[in-house]
Amino acid sequence: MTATTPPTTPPTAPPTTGHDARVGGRDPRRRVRRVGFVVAGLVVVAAIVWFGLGLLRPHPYSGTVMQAPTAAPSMEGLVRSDGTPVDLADYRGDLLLVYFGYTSCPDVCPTTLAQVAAARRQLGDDAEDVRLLLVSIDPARDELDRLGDYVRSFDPTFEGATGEPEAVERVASQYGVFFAEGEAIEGGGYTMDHTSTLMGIDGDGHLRIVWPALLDVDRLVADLRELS
Amino acid sequence: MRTRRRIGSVACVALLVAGCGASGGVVVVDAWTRPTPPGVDSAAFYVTIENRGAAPSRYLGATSPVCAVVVPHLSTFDDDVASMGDAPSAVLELAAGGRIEMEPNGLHLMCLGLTAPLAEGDEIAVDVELDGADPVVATVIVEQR
Ligand SMILES: [Cu+2]
Repeated sequence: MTATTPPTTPPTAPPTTGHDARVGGRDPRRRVRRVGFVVAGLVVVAAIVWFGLGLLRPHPYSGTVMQAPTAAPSMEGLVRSDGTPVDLADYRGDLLLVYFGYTSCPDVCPTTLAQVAAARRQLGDDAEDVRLLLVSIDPARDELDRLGDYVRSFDPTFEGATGEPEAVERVASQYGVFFAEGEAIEGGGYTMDHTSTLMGIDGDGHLRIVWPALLDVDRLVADLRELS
Repeated sequence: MRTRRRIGSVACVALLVAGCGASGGVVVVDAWTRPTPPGVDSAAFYVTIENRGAAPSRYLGATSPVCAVVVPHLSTFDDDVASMGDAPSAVLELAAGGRIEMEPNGLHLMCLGLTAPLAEGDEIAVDVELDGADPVVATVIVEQR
């Protein structure tokens, strides 16, 4: 802009020779065109830089990513709803999401499972290697059949597992999960207090990410795309 | 959800003449629950109630033909540990112009002793008793949200 502004010279001054912008380009229209090319070029360069930086910028995960991922603790002692022991090696190459919960939990657990199911639907074909295992911390009430029916009602690929109370306690503690019998509820029964994090074990069997309680589906989808 | 709310308000305006605000100005803005997984005999109803009247009111209780009992519950999180218990009375107050907002991972009406599983598309009647106002009937829609 400033380049095209004629220099403010007193009317008595001799005519300038080289610095007047209008003198530089012989054909003003050609000059306008040249400026247009430069601007277009700058826009393209800026777009490339912006896009490049976007690729370089690390994905802002909504969970805590392990800086030095270690092998996920064994789930020895837990049995899947189909009766087979849980062997994490079965999930090599997949992203295994692990959630500790229980089926008589009417608010927080179904909300989490429905959110993971919604995330898998949004992922479409990319959901194929995203699995989910619900570990029941309420083995007294969650028989394997019940557990299997429960998880599959959210997503037919979901699996459930549980075991003897000692095994469940050992696995939960190794995953940093707390649970305890909570308030007795009116009409009989009891609730369970439990850590409501979602954990991700990568295709190499490493514990890679922990999402805090209260998921955001869109952010989970973005994270899962980045991880799988 | 927002759309449903808007539809609700529009329906309410349309019904105003027919006495939509007749029950002391307390209305049900939104009411839904998820389909129950097999074997589960409890459900969380998310019923948002708004007091459009001038006088304060309060949630007193609720009943439903499909539940043995309906209890207001609150899910809370402490350091990622989820707990569920009876809702404190403070969250059940309905000041004039105020709302009792219910949503997943928070306040809900816990339906215990479900008489039958709830399937997508079902509609359940829940009678909500209010202090100083006529009871309102919430039609809880069963849907996966
Ligand atoms: Cu509850």
